[in-house]
Amino acid sequence: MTRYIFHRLMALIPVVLGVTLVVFSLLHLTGDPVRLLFGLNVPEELVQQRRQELGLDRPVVIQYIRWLARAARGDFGVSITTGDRVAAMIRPRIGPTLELTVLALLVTLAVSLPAGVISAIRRGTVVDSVSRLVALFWVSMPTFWLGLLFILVFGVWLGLLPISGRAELPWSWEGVRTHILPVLTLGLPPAALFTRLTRSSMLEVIGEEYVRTARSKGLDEWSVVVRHALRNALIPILTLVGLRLPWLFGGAVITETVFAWPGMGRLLVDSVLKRDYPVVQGIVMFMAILVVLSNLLVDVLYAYADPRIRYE
Amino acid sequence: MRTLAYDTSRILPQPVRSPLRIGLRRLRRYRLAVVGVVVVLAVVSAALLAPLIAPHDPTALDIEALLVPPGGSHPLGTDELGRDIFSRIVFGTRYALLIGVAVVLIEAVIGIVLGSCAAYFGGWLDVVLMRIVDVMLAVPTLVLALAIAGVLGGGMGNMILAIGVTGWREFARLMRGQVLVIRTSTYVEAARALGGRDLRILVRHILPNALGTIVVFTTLEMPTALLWAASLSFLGLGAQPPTPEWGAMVAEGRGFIGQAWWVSTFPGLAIMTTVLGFNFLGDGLRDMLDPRTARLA
Amino acid sequence: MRRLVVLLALLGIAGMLIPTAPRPATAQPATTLIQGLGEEPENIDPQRTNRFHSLIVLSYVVEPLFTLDKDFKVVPLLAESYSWSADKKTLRVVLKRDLTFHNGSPVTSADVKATFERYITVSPLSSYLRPRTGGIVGMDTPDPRTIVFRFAQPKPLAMISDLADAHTGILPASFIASTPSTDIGIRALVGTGPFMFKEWVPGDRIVLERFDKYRWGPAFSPNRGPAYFQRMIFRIIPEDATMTAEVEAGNVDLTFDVTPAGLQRLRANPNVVVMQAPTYSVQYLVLNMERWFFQNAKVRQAIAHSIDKEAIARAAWLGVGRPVDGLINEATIGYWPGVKQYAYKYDPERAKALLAEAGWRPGPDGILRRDGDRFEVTLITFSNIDQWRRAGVIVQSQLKQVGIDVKVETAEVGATYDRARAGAFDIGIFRNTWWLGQPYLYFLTHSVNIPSSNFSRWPNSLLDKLLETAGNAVDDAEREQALNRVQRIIVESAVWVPLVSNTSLLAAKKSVGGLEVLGSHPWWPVHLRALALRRK
Repeated sequence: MTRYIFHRLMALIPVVLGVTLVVFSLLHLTGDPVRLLFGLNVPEELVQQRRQELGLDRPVVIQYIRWLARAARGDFGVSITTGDRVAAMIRPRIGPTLELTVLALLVTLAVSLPAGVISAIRRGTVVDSVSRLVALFWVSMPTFWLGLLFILVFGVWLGLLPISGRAELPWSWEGVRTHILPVLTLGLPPAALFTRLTRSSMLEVIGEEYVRTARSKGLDEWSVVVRHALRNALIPILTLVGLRLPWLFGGAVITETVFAWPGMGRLLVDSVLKRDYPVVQGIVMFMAILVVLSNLLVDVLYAYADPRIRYE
Repeated sequence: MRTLAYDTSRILPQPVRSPLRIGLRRLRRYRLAVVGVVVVLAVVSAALLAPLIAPHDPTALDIEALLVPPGGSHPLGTDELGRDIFSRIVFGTRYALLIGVAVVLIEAVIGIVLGSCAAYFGGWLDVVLMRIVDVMLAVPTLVLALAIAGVLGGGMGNMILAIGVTGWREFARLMRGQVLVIRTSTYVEAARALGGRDLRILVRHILPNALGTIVVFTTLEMPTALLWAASLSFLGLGAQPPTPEWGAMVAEGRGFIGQAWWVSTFPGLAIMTTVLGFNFLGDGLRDMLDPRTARLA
Repeated sequence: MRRLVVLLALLGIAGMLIPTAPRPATAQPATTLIQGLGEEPENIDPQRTNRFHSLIVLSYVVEPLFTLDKDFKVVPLLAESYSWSADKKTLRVVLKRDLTFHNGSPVTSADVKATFERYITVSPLSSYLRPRTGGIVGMDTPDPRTIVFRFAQPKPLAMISDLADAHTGILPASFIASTPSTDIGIRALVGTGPFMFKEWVPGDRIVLERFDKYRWGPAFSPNRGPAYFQRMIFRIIPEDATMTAEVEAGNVDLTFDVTPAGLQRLRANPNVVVMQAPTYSVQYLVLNMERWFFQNAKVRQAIAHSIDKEAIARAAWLGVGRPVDGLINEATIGYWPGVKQYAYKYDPERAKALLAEAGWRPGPDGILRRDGDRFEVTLITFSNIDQWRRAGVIVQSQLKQVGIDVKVETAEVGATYDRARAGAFDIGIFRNTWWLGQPYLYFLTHSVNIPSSNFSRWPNSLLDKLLETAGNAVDDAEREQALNRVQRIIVESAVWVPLVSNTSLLAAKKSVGGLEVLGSHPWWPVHLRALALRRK
């Protein structure tokens, strides 16, 4: 098992390096970033000085290596607008974003697993077709619009839930209410898609030999479905969860903006609009690493659940 | 994936499968696609006939009619500058289609070129491409597109470019798969034996065969492209005012969500309807081309 | 088993949805005041900033030598007394006794000197104090409580009001020396104000704590120190709808960032007090004079005639705000009411006539042409402030009526200013954010400030001379006349077109007392005196 984890970690390294390359080149896409900072009528000495300060006067390869070395130590540079260290700016934002994405994922699974199982069992009936329609419907829903609708209905018209901000830990009963709408906004749309995926995964498993064996042993429907079929159907679902993770982080960007959630996504949007490239680089980098790590986690869980994988 | 009709009928409680039921179900399936076609055609016609359909000029301000509720001469109300929302939505179809098509085109070109080259030439090129795709998989598309659009400075063109440049991987994978299959087919072998140049073979023989799948895939990618574009516009990186772009319209209405819910709601509805239409259409197309796999997704 | 799970789930959901009273001022005790900030400041460094929201926060923490009461009269704050030399070139200021900084060290003249040196070097606003422009040539500190300013030219007595500027908030010399300049106003800020800087959680809040030793509040404040509130928290809430909702819910006690959109709701709310006062903030339009088509005065006047300021006030500002005719308005020191007569009235027909006289003819698409060139311009303004974005669209529409094709390009405030400084625009819509008339007009229109703050790129030596006279002449009448002429030239030239002036809105919970003192100042919140605020 450890061997497997080790191998997977090794495979990750080129990916992470690749990401650093992509992220680094972001800054240099439109030419001279220092010019962008200052505009045209600034004395040349100031420009040169700033360039030296930022280390931008060396050849690009050297810059990349230096940046990489610093990034490895956790130093992502300094924000252009506030002068704060980028890593310090990102750190307090990680928790809220993870909170949002993890809770949303739980909602997605909580909704889609039962619905998918039911769809599979009731295959061919109205329930199934309706579920397919609902899936298409939810997949077409723009996240930001859903968020605004929630705010409109639950926040403004019904006045039931707070429409922005986030309660700090420890959460009081009152405080958790700030989480409801954002988590639903992020978690519901993918739920429909996952329902379909669960359904197909279940259907595939149900056709397998061992299910028929379980049936022939005389076990009841519930037992067969949950204890045998579902457990095995979960494995491909896990992979699909892993594949959707980037989407979840992307969706978090929008959800955080709509609900004024103090997470990484909102910081990203603010920094992009302010042209604060070091912060943008830092966040993109960090999100990519998070995705890569969670994929690793998924792979490990997958290997744990399915011993065949470990010995590949 | 295997077909399951045979296996599962023996295990699960099935409703009585009369021929009528089977027929109805097939019709129901295609009905979705038909709805999709209707919606897409409606959007396209709105785009073409916009000046005839829209009752007002979409950029005409009317200071006397700020934030008017839906009704009367303004069927969907007016926004905070007095512009008619219905007209803006109608003209907005042009931008939605333009952006969607442009994005998918860029994604397709990049993806097809990279995917087919990787599959055809194989070897290290293939490995490198697959690594690149892995890397792209790690960074959320929206995040990367946001960053690129921001660096380029926003605006519709830059937004299209940003999304196109980050969203090609599905096309690449698709093409790669197709080319891998076709490459080993007999007529390609023959063409090579006859001394045909690689590029020619790619263009003349392989691509046309993959065309069918490409077209279907393009339709399937439209909804995703439209949603990403709407999101970037909502965040402020899309078209500049006063362009009636739907994502930007939703963003503009955000500050008034309490007093004037219609400013954000209707453009959002337009986005969803259009995306839904393409989804139905794409789903139906996929069904028609490959009925075996259709039922499982 | 299944049924139990379902039941529990339903109970849980029901419990969450039961409408409880809106979250009360959460765990915050009544001794904490929560203010809502609609924009996160870049920093709260008095010398480095010139943004409104920075000033809101830092005016609690640092104090200048003087302050102004509601009648523009100078009131000593850190200073105890002052005197001018006979030749008006030397100003002697004596500090009060027993002043201490938040870090415990006493306030001395050395600190004042260090602060002013920093101000002159670092602040974008201080060009009028530089030696080259007749400003400070030296400062002496004969004893710890006395500081002597020496000027290059004789200064008007009213110069004092410039020293009442929050940007000259006094910092300890040791703090300035030992702290990297980029950390001041972000990680740390030490001053003499009624509150101390505690922490800043980026994107979320800025926290200030009461300075218990504070005793030297201005004479007009009913409470001269220390403050009643133990803590002041500034919550950063950039979304308008959220700010309104939070005020209604009672989670924010006070905010100046009420938008026109939220105003109606708040006015209707019995628990909320809404106060209005005219502010010095002016939204204006400026032309880039490096463009050949703006060289002709008729074209500029035509543009000025095409703009319906009333419409902008109604649509962009939703009625909160009124059209103005001068680049500075009546809440600014030095405003001249006579400038009104020189403003160009809304008259699109006259505009068209002037453009025709200047040689522009309408083309087939309605857009003016001259020798084959289309009259197309790029307009830049802020994307993230609704009123500016809307104003940009309105101006675009109004100019289209007379045949000018305007492309609007918005960007975030900082990015827009960068573009303005680079001269990469034709028309720009910006804002005026200072209450001192002469220094601000100097900042905006003197050629020495091209292109850093004077975006017009229009060097005008007459204007320069008048601005200098308005700042330096010793005779009050001479200064006033010069400043009046400056205001007239600005408007007549039509290089700048003043649009709308803000109304400052304050929304507060009824339970916050002491608002009358706040409301009596025309330019709160900058001269905010938190001392009177208390929980009723």
